[in-house]
Amino acid sequence: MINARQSEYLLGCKEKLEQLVDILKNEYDYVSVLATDVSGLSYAVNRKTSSINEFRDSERGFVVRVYCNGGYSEYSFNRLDDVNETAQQIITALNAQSSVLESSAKLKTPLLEEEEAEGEFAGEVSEEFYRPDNEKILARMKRLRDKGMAKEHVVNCSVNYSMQLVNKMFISPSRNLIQAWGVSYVSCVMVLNKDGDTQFTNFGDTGWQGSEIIDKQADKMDQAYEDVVKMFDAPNITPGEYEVICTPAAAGLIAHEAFGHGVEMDMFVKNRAIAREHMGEKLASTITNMYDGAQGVRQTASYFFDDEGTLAQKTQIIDKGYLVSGICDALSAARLGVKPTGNGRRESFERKVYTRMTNTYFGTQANSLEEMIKSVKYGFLVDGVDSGMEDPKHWGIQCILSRAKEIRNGRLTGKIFTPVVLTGYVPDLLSNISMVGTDIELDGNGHCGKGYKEWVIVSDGGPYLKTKVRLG
Amino acid sequence: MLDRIINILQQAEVSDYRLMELTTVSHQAFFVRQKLDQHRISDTVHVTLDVYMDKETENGRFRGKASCEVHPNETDEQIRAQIEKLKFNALLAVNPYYQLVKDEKYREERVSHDLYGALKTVVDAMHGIQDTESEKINSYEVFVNEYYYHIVNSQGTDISFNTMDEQLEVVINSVNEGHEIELYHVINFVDRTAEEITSEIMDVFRHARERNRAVPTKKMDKVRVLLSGDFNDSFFEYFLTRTNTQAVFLGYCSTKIGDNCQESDQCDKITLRAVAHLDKSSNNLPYSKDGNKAMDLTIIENGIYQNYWGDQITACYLGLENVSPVYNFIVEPGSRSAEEMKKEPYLELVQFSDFMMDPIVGNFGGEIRLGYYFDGNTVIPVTGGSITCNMNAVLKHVYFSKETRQLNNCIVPATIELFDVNVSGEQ
Repeated sequence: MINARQSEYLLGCKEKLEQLVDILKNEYDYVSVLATDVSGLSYAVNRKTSSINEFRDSERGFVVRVYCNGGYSEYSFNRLDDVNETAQQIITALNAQSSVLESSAKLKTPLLEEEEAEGEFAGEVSEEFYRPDNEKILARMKRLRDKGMAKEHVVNCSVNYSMQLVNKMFISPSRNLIQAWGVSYVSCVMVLNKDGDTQFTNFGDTGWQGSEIIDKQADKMDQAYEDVVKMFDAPNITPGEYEVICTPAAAGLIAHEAFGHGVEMDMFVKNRAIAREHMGEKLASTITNMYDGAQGVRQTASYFFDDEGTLAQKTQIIDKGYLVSGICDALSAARLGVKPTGNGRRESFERKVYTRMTNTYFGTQANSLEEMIKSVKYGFLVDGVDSGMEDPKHWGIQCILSRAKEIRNGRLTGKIFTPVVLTGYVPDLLSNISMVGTDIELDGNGHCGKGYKEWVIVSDGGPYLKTKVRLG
Repeated sequence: MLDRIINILQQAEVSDYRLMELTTVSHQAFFVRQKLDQHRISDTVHVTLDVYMDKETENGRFRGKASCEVHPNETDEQIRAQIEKLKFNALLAVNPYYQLVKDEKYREERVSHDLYGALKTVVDAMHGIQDTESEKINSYEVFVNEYYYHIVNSQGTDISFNTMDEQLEVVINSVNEGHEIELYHVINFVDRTAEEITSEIMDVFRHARERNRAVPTKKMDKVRVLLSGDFNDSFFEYFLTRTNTQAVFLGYCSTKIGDNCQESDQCDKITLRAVAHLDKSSNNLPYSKDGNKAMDLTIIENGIYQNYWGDQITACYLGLENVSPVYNFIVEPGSRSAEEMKKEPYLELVQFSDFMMDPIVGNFGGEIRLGYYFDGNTVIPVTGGSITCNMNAVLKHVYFSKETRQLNNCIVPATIELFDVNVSGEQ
């Protein structure tokens, strides 16, 4: 492993960007610039084709944030030639837009007071990120695909692998930060057709590691196949409240949807989250702990500073059942009079910052999965995350899971039900958590939206959890 | 910039290439209540380069493709190095040969729209909305975007065109006896008047008010369900996925032209047509990124699949000579009026927390945010609970309303009538 290298492109732009900040600070009370250089390769193989393309979230560009007359505005661009010309372009365009919006009253926002910070941060990556052996990577993927295609009823097995190098630089009069890290993603989708019916299953892994992650999927494939074959004949679940054991992936979805969105503090500013009124209250069972943070774990949403130049941290959201903290971007923090938590993130340099989750997960306790299964008289082990939708205003939750494995008298019966819609009231679900496993597993293959846009990469997970919740 | 890259490509010994330059200008404003949170402008150029390398073997002719973005500040030397990497990677990932779109020509000069003015129109419309006693605007975001596409390939295709779209994301609060709820609503549009925007927001106010006085949905077995929401487009997009060349090629769907997806007499037969242009749609792209012209195309007629649509590569693999992208579509109205559908007891669903459609397996449904239950005497707003259905079962017994409505890039029946649906809810 080596330390990720800082982007030559960003370092090459640094002087010009510092000049840009110098020029703009004569015009504005606050100026910062975030520069991004995100690159990588995505490899794909399926039953008939293969490809190597640029990573989907690659980008290279700049965003300037300024404060003037009590309000913030931003200008995103990706050409940097003459600095004076660029500065003039920014001033002219933002002034024109300010005039157009002149009749709008401004949301009161204090001037950001940044503590001085300077630093160069690098995560550890394998040399492979800089000199990938593409032939070897494709061969690994094809081996996995062939294993999948050899299974009965499988009509397509696609394997996707990506390596992403993230480089960002933040410059303001008081901050000068640069960071680099790398992350890899593997995902596999098997599509099965039996007598005209179609079912599919997906699985994968992510982390700060190289292409060896591909080989680790072979065992997961066998389990996923065993489950998906049963889904052809699986009945719908009878709607009702059940004892439910969540796999780490299902627990992650709950952590993300149940409380993650509900404690994004830009929602507090808009009075859109009920959590604001319940800080310090007991909302979960005493064995429940929950965290979010770009620091503390090494996953796809780990970084050293966020898109506003705030240093990353690990935030404990639930402590022994008590809601103790939200997560916050810098502008929302200024409006709420609290400290930012390093959760200000953008979909890309072209989009606005919102408070966003990073790596969100439940903490561990001492229960084994076997103990949990033994304790269930009639219930389900739910798995296969499809999607989720939050309701921070009322703590409603909806999670779509692909399967529920039946447990009767402390044993898995081998029977599967599908699909599964998990719904409920978040404090009930969290208060019903009665057993928590010993090991955290995180998956970062998902993108999280704010509403139905602003997609950012997040990871979530936890240990196995036992709770009681409505399934339909 | 394209000329510079083409000059380099011409000396690079590639089998083929495709370049797409997308120039985007976006003006954005963000409000909390009616106060300006911040405003933004984004002005960018993105160039995507695909390099194709061919290889003849004893098993036939093969083609590999590799892609990257060429950034505006890259030097000629850096671009040359990128192309060499793409050539190498393309030859590692070869697939059966396919052709690029040949000699397609279409030229529009770049047009600069008055984005400041367009932003002001939407913001003024929103400022004009008065809170009611129970409903108020919580927050909203306005995006006004213009795009200029220039697509060139080494087979003589040279296409350029302008498009524009606007997006308004609104959150509404409604209070009833101290209980506050919110509704999230997104409108994608182009060329709307202030009155049209206001009218749509007033509808959201009405839904918010109804939801706030709704009672929990009861658990019901085999109930008649009417789908009458913004999600009705997702119901019909199922058929677009089933006829998409990529989905068929990869085996996600086994749809064959001539297949009947509704072998039953207890239903309105689906007729779905793709249209190249639809007034007021924000999706009127005249060409695909491959360079294929968007055409009017019948996808399903009377329940029978008529045509595939999709991208150039998978269309070639399926042996199609011409393929069209689908950006807009129209579904023919059904046989029954909404009024007729509402004569007998029903559960009409107008909002889900997130309507999910799995077009591969055919499962759809979600948690109910707002519905109306008619027991034969009175109509009661309901909320909570969920439905889960499967298309294979539903299509045997389904009716569509005579009334249609436009949901940005499609016109679909305003109400879809389903039978024997199990509803999860309060016991």
